[in-house]
Amino acid sequence: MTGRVRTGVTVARLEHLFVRRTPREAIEGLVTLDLERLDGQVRPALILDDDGSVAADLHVAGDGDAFILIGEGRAPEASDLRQTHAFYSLNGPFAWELLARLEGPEVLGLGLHTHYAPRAGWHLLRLARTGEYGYDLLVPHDDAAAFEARLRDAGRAFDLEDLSRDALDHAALEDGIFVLRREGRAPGLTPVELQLQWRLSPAKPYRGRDAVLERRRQPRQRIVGFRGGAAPASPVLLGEQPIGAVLVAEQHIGLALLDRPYAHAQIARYTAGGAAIRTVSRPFVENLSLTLHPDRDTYRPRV
Amino acid sequence: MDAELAAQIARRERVLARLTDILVERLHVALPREAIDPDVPLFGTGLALDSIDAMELIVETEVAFDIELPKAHVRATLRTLDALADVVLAAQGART
Repeated sequence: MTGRVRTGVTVARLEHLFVRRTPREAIEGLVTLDLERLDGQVRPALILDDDGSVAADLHVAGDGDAFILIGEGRAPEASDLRQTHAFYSLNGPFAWELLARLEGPEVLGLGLHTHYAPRAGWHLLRLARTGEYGYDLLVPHDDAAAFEARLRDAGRAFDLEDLSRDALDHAALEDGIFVLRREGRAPGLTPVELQLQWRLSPAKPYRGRDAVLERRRQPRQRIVGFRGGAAPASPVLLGEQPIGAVLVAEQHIGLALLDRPYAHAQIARYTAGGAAIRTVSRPFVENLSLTLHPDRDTYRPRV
Repeated sequence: MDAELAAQIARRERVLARLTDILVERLHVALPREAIDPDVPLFGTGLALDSIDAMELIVETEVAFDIELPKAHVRATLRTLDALADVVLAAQGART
């Protein structure tokens, strides 16, 4: 299903994501991320509801005296950058090479979570939506047609492929990356159950913080990855004892929400929907991107 | 939960707890201990450890558990705290 996102380069428009620009005061009490020192950076964050459940899953980039937000879920009131910009997401182990063909070799030096403006009005954000090299680009509408023509033309040498939303979501599942409209939609789950506490500032106040701290004091369930042929929503059993339920199941991998005493990796004793499952550490795949070196590797061998 | 499963889980919890100690006390990860989830990514995103942190984590883990860990492709193989626990438990199991 994931195709070239694991072997080459893909492009997606990600129309389901909001892209906003907002002043600090509009989001300070909402996003779970410390907003200090974000100039030149883009970081993953969450917006929670009062009960600690996830309202939005987003990346936040410093942009002068404001912030760019790219995410899914309930967007804060803010300027919609899709009114002025086209959005492209390039993902795949050779995305860096295609991007360097388009924007010059400077992009090769961009580390993960860098926000870079290659030219006035443009935004290039290095993210990891699939676990492979990934870059989101915001291109002013006036430049978009020309950029896309160059992208498609240069992309031919990379067998550039359009990435569907389903394929993107599956790639995220393979890499242990949270998808709000999938595992995030199960009722009552906070970052504690979803194993997303690393996205929470340890000190700053944000909406839902009290609920998270309360849940952290008495954790009852946790998401765990598994391999096996379980069906979505199947109860997970130890023998005949229910210990949780399958949240996500695709192509013999998935996520289960298990009662805390049982929520560990490397257990082959559970069943779900009559199928044996084995809990595992995520991610489920090995990323080619982690073994590539832009100074020596290339999508096509040099002649 | 039967005794065998309880023992397996207890071993894993001990390893995760000790690895968390290393992250907090030796690498000074700026998260409260109880907020360090087993699935937290170690490199790039998540805890965002750098190459120096990676080597220190390897050394501290080897000392703490009296094992030897592979040094090559650390970022590709030790993706999360859980993945590191897998390697530790496998090394302990190979030793016994």
